[in-house]
Amino acid sequence: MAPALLLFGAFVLWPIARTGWLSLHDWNLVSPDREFVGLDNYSELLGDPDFHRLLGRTLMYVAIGLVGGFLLPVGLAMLTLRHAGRATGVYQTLLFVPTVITTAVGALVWQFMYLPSGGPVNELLDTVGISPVNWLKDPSTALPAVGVVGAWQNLGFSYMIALAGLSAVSPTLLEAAELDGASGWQLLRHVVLPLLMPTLLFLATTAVLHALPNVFVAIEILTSGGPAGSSSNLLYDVYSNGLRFFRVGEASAEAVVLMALIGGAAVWQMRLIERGVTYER
Amino acid sequence: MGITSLAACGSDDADTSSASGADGTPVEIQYWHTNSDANGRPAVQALVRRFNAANPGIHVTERTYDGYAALLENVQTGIASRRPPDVATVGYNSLNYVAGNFPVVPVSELVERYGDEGPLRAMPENIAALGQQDGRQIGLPYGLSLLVVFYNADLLRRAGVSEAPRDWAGWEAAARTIARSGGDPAINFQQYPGDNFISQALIAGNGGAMTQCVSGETKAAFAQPPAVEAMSWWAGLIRDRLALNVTADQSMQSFLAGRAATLITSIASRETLEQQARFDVQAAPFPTFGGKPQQLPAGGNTLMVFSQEDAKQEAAWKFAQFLDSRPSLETWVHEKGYLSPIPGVARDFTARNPMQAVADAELPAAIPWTSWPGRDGLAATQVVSDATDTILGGQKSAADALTPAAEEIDDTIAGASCQ
Repeated sequence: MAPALLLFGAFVLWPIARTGWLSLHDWNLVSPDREFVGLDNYSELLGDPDFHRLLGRTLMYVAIGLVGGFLLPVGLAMLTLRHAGRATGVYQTLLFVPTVITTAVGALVWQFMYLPSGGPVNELLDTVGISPVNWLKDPSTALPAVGVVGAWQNLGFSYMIALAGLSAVSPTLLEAAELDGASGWQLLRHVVLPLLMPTLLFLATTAVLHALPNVFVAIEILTSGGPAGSSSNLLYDVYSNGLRFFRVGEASAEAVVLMALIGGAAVWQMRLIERGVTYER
Repeated sequence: MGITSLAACGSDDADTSSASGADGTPVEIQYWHTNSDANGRPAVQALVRRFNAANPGIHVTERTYDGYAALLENVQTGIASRRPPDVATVGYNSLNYVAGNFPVVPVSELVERYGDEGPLRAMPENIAALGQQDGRQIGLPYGLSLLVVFYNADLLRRAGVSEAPRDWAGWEAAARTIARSGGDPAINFQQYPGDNFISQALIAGNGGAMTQCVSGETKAAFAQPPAVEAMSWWAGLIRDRLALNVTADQSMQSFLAGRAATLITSIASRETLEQQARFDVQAAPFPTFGGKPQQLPAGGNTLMVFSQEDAKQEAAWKFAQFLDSRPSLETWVHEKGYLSPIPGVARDFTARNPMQAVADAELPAAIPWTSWPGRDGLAATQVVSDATDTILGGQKSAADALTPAAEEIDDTIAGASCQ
């Protein structure tokens, strides 16, 4: 127990405490002049309209993460099982492939996909009469375009979890419900979903918690947060401020705010788990 | 912030030395650079081996990082953890930030302490200036690259453009010709996020500047008429579908796919293009605005010395001079494709490579790539980059974007002195 606590203290508690302490300073890591500024970094952040926009963008990435890491994989897993056939293995492989491709390579492929002229995405849109879009350089499309890449990359992992959860639902329970006259919707609503609840809550929790880390590399490679910050989020801004611009105090304050938000979301989801989970006996 | 005080801070590094050299063991020094395995590292390793073999009292270990930003991150954290490199390649656009914030040992001090100006003696004045801050030699100019226009000669010929233009008016006319024949936007700047390499080249080429020295204080100058005019012109090209506004990777992809007629980027991309282009790729000089003189920010890096302990510092200076010596530069230019900061190096190589010769001929026009001073100097670069994004995206006019950006930078770097 003690060694585990020591490790936990050294690699989790100490960095958190240190980040909190640094957030009260104006410092660049190397200067001998480390000025204590109290809560100034926090008040500047909270009063900065750019920071509010950043929070909005962060929520948008979480929403995209929920779709890509929860709704879509669960839906695809249901479809795969419902229409199981000879091609099921092919679908499963195709859906899992993005997960094993390195993000850097995947992002390069997407740069090509998103080319304004001659890119496959715009060529496809052109066939239905939609004008070309400059996906990565238009401030209104850069964020969703990058978010899709992050979601695409992580879809396979969530899909496999959902598939495993669905496969574990006992066929005898489904047959018994069908014999009792349950319709397809009733089967889903009253049998499958309750039994799948632990898996669903796991997926929903990880989709929220991983939404920002999952998209980090995609942001870095595709847009570096641009154009003009329109595809950045709170996590990426912590990195930019801390390690690109060496505004360590400001970055630490942002990290503390981010930690509070993620911590709050995790606690809320854990409470949901405690309330809503039904275990199969 | 005084370099002296920072140097004192970093002087604790002395105890990190694994060998003093006094007991006969070699002095261990670290060289940090940005050359990946596919991009010049074998040449670095060959040079390090050559130096170690010729200098048994010194042992150099090289370490690579993925780009200048990553290297700078690691130098900063290395200094914070008291394990900085002894020599590192620092991008020209970070020179003032590093000089003002890191415990770098200026080359001028190294020359005073250990003698021998070495490679500096052989450098033209404008090239030596690339490593200077307010006239003081901070780093040794080393990696050197300039902007050129790579173009798809096949595509130009098909469109009826027989010769590569020399000025922007000519390129604009060529782009209109290509557009009329149904081609993609022809003018294709490779813009990397968060840097101002292209915008500075256009602004300086139009007679403007990024900074100015006002009463001993550095101020932003990129909101003045020549700069606004240059940036408005660029935005107009994009609006008229004569120029692309895409990411750096997309610029390269568009050119290699044979869709964009040009790729306006550093000469350092020459070898990649020669290997990957499936068409006749040629290079033309970075164009001028009418009769205005060419002024090109120099890309690349300076060698900076961070060692604080005497033995390591001397070894580091010796190694930096070795890297910048004629024989080493011969290897470096051949393998990496950079230009030589010393004239006359790798003449045969340049003669065999017409595209390299185009960039080589631009060297007299090289000016320092703006490096913002002060604690927030790196963030200032991002402010200009963000303003450029909004101009090119058509969200704001050049004047509306550049004026507040200049004011923001003036606030950010307030008090940064200059001469």
